[in-house]
Amino acid sequence: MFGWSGTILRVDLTKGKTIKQPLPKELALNFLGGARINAKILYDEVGPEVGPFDPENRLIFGFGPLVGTLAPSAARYTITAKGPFTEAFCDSNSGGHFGPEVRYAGYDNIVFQGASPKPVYLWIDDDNVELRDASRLWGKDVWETHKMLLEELGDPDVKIAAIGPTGENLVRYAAVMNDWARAAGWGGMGAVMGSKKLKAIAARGTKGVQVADPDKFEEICTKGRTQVRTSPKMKTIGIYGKPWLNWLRNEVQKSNPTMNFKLPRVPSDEWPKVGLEALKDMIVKWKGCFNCPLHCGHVLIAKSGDYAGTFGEGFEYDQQIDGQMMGIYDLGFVLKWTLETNRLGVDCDGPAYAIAWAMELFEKGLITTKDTDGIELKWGSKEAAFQMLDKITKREGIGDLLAEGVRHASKRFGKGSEKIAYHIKGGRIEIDPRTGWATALAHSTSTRGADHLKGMPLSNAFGVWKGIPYEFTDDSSPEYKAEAVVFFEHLNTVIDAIGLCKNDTWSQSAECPGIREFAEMMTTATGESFSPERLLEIGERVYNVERAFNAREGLTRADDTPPDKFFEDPIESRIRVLDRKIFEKLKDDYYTIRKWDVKTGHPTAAKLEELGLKYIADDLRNRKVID
Amino acid sequence: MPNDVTQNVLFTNPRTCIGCRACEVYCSFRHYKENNPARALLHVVKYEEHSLDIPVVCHHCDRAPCQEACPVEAISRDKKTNAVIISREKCIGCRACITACPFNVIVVDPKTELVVKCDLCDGKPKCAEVCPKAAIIFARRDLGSKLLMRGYTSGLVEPLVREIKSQGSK
Repeated sequence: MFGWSGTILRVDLTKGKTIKQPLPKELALNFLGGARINAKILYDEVGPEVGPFDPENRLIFGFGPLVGTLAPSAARYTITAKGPFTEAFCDSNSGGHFGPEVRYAGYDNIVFQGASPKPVYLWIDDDNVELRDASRLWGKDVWETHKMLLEELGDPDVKIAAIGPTGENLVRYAAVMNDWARAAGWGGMGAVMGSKKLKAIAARGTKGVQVADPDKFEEICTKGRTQVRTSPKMKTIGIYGKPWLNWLRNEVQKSNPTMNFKLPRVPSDEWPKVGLEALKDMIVKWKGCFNCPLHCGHVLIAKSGDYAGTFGEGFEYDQQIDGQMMGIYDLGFVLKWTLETNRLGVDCDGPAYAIAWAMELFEKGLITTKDTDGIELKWGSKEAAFQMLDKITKREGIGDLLAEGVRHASKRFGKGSEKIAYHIKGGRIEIDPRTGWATALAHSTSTRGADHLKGMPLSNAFGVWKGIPYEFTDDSSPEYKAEAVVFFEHLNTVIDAIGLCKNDTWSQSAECPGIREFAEMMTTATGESFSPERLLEIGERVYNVERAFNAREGLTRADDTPPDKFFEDPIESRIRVLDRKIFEKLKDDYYTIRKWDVKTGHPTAAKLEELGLKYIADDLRNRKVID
Repeated sequence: MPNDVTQNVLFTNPRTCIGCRACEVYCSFRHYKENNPARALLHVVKYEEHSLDIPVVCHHCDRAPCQEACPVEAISRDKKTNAVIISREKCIGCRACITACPFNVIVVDPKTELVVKCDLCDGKPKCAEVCPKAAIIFARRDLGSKLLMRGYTSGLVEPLVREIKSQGSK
């Protein structure tokens, strides 16, 4: 096979067995690969009776057909499972060098099922695949695990994805970390991995990825490279990395999660401490994922303040929000927080959002120092933040509650705390829905909980594709927004499936490679004929599978809604506050475009059949989810 | 010094290397038409613990220790590019050149198990062409170090200009 490796690796952790299955060509053609084959396997094998931590949940790694190739930014892999905080469909995506290495060893997907009786790790050495004892690694943090494994395997170039103590302790938002500082952060995939007693995957590959038409493939990839290098992205993300977005939200769009959304954004007197100038002062070096011509990673040093001397691969937009959410305006803290959450193997935002929620409860007097083992959980307390992170990691005292994430924690805690637990389908909210209509809609319809990387239009690509004037930054009118979100949901699905990074593509810049280039890359890589339309159709097919999975789990239209606060509290942003009527109308439009049931938000049998998913339509009908 | 390709060699700068390994994957593609860094003829050595990536390339030394170490005279200079190259016919696979190379940048190909090394891609090295941060450059041997110095000092320009504008040159 060209493009694809042609092998799915199945690992039964209960039995300690591994099996290699050929990748069915039809599956590859209809679902493209990587992340999206994951989604289909999850639908087929994990029903509503299976809980996220049950052995019968699957943990599926997907490595798209372009991963590890010349295609610019072809570094991304996706992990899919029933998610611990969504308790429905969930996936998580990461860059670095681990994904390409697994491709070089010759695998498109790895499906873990069951749970091992004792800690194990999977060692992939080209064709040789082996489950090995990981007892001595259990309890070690991500970095120790990396070091010990490289030593054990005797090759410092082996690539590793591992969990830390948070994953072992089933912290619902634990991450899978690869290549020391790269995270599949979203979704709690680390906790699913922990529940299976799988400590790590180590891979070495020397087989490479073969393509059908090398000369044309090189030509289109090198053109894509030039597109990225000459795009305006080089002057924003290419210089400041993702923190540029924090500036955009705070200073231009005037909406930026701060102090558990008590404040609309970072106050202007605090902004200079966390703004781009402060950041610039800390940058000492850059880092990039595999074959990325853009590189958003920074190596930073805190030159002054409480964390002076702290050095390491630095933060992006998310970790800046973490500081703000806890009322901490100090980039030195943000750097330290980044490094600690990486080391412990936890999604940086998970603990920060939970602690911010608890800080608000502390302020309201609903929890006191009696509940916190004496910790003064005050806004802005850096000490308290790290003490809480430690408690969460160990699930000790109140840390056990906060390790559940805001959705589950507020349900357990009660006392009205649900009102200030800001999430959609369990996913914490990273971009304020009051930023604009497409933002609000995309966060609501995302299949993995509030999220900007599924369908949020972050570029003008929709306008370019449709040939209409369209300015994504003007999110103040609902016009075209339902169409744009649907388009981006399909586009991003394709990007995840083939294994590129959203930063280097149409997803975030219409000047970067887009759906036409993807079609050329896929055609020359695989020798199959892919048109842009065909790719988008696959995107639609997969999005319907994910949605059908959630429908089967009992999620409906009502779950596609941001918390009340965003409909009630006006801020300074362009739309100020969400209007329920306009928002529900926008949802009507969205379901109508998708040919989904407007009342329930479920995919219709007709739509599923049109996409070649009759068996899913039958399944949903048999379960009386749809008519 | 004449401006021809035989005077060009590779220079590296680990300070600006971002560790993306575009050089490795393009190198393997140029030589074997496959995406396979394990077969690349150069290597980015990664020290993730220190956020450091160090590209290691063949310097095509003027007095090449690999050439001197080869017991069967399998290593010679390409007439067109001046690159130090290995003769497939003569090489006996003793790997003495790997030990002799001060950078150990001669490798054993994992597929063919033959001893292989950088050949400067017929005078147009892909690694230098695709490096996004000029961490590998292909330059005339007398200019390379000056270009690197310019790269190194470029970060000093802005603060120096700011200082001179506000305080003069004292």
